[in-house]
Amino acid sequence: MASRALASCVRSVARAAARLNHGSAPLVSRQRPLSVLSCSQRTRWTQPVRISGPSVLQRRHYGDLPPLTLGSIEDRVMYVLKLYDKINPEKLQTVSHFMKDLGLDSLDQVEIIMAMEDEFGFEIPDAEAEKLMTPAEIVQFIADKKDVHE
Amino acid sequence: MILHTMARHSKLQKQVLSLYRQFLRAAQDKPGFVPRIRDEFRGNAAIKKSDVMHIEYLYRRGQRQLELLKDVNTKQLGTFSKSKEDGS
Repeated sequence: MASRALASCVRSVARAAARLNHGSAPLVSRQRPLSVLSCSQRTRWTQPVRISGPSVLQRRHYGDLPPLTLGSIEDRVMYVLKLYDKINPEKLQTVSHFMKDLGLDSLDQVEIIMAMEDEFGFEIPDAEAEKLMTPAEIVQFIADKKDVHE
Repeated sequence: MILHTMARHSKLQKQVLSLYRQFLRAAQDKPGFVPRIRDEFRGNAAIKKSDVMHIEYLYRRGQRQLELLKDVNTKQLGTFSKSKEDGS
């Protein structure tokens, strides 16, 4: 019973993947098959169903944002900082300290952390926020919170 | 009272910074408040750290104003400026 339901899901996924692979070589011959489901003799279908790994994985339709990477986090952090009017974009580097190198004060640092909260969509508590003094530390903190490894 | 160095914030500094954060969050949707808030905090940043009475007075005043700002009936802030005209 469960195997029949599973096999039907696999068949619809393979069919969708085959539809998306239009114009190119057939599914089975091109990619390395990840697994082969052979149905038992009690089911109606007699052909094995092949799932092709990479193309199926690329076409999953989850309702979520693209996964974060360390590089993308750093790009977004630097972009937001360059938009801040009190920071000189030429002098800004990943390791530049807000107070010592860029001449900002603690009020500006609060504004910067709030801009980061808005950009990444999650709250940063005050106790940890006041310790983030360089863009590199912000990137590291966000990567820790969002479980981004590389 | 604002910090230019890496020294840890005192309790009062932390309270002021958290008040600043609450103000900016409450003022995000209401036009005209953010420049006023920033000017007010930055102007008062020049107060000496030892002048605790003044700082605490401003802090309590800020808390009362934050309640007003968070009130639903507060919509926006505007200012009048007097134009310099010659004659009457």
